[in-house]
Amino acid sequence: MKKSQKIVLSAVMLAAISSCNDHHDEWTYGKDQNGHTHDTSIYRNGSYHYYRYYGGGWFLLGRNNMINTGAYLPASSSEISSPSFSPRSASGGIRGGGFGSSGEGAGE
Amino acid sequence: MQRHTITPRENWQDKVKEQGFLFYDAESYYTETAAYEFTAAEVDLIEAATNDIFEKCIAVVNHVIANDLWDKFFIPREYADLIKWSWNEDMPSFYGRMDLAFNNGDIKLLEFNADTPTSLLEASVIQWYWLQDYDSTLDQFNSIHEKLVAHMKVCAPFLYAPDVLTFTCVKDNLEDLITTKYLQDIANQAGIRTDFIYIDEIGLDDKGEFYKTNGTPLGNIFKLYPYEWMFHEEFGKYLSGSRLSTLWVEPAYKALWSNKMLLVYLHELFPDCKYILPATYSPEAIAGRPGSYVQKPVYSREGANVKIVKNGVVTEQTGGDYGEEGYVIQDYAPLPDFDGNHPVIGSWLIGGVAAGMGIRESDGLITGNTSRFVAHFFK
Repeated sequence: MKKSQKIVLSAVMLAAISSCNDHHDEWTYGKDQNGHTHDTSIYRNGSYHYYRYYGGGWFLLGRNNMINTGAYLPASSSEISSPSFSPRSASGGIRGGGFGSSGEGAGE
Repeated sequence: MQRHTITPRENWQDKVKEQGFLFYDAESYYTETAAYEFTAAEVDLIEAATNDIFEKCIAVVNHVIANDLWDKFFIPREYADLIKWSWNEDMPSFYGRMDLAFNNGDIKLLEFNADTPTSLLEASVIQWYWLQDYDSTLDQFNSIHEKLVAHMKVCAPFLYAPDVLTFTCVKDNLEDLITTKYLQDIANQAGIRTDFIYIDEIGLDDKGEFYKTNGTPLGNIFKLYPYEWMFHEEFGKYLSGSRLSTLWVEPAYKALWSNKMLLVYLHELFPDCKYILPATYSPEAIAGRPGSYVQKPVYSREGANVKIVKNGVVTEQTGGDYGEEGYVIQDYAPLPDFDGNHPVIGSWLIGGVAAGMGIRESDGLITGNTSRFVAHFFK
């Protein structure tokens, strides 16, 4: 016999299905009090990086057109213009964003 | 091998969505209007070919390491030690998928998606549940799920401390997310503690160690993200120095197998193997080459930038952004033609052992991200 005898999907998968179906999201659009957003783009290392100004600094703009203000600290204009800039983690001392810039879908 | 036109199940869309197949309708990716039938002998052939080719892939890695062929594979030299180390230490690997042409019992390797294969849930879960509704007395070449659970149990003791395996993939790609979540679910069933973050949420401290951005150390990471990208991104240079504090699944040596130069060296080392197509890397080999061949970028994904040439005439080609490293030229292997449907076998390896297959068919001869997943059975 080569076929599966029993396939069970457990909590992680069911939660993922539920989450995707419900479209929950923890991110924010970062609009100002007038309901507007302020974005800029920086050309660095061969590609454009997009940032949104919110709460006194710039946050990396996700492909969902939102920013993650919980995980990252705001950056100044000079910081995001630096060739070596990486977003700083809100936890301090640990920076993120060093992987994930090459493509939108990695499976094949 | 036969293709049958069949009647879709009632409410099949709801059924596959309940099983996690939330991207079934993306560009008509999944269809229940057809199924492929194999004989048991044909399945045995595919299983044996998969295991045989895998043995030869192992020989290629040994050959690359022994002869320092990193430049030939367009792999930056600074990653050679990491790849050698991951190979010599036999670092844990979960899975891989060989794409095979299967034509009247003749099997040819088209490529080996060893690092970031998808279409896993469809092959493992979706087609199996389909078969239970279609005819549960039939068999299917599919023990992918059980083999994954069993293999992850084998791998579990080798995880680093803290013994949490964190799964990661890109944001905003449902297929990648569901594939990753499915693997995380299996790891949980294998008794492994797991977590999930997106790839751009992987953090790095001042010492070059990987952490979650909340400060939790990342001892073990499964990434649905290719090494060929990681090697050229900012954190790539920290992979080697942190190799004793962060274990990556798939391991770094997968950068060799997921590279189309594998096809060239398989042919060079095993020119008489019936499963291996003649393949070469040489710009001169393209100009004026007689016969029929396929031109594939050294690095390409989802059938991008592939060109099929028959007797000097381009009969089919796809666009894309790949090709910077040049092209591999592989002899053309005809795919079966079932009223304009051309199936490719995705033969899964779990822990280095053939474990099942999924079939994707296309209207054309290049299988890419617009191909359709079709279930199979055998008698």
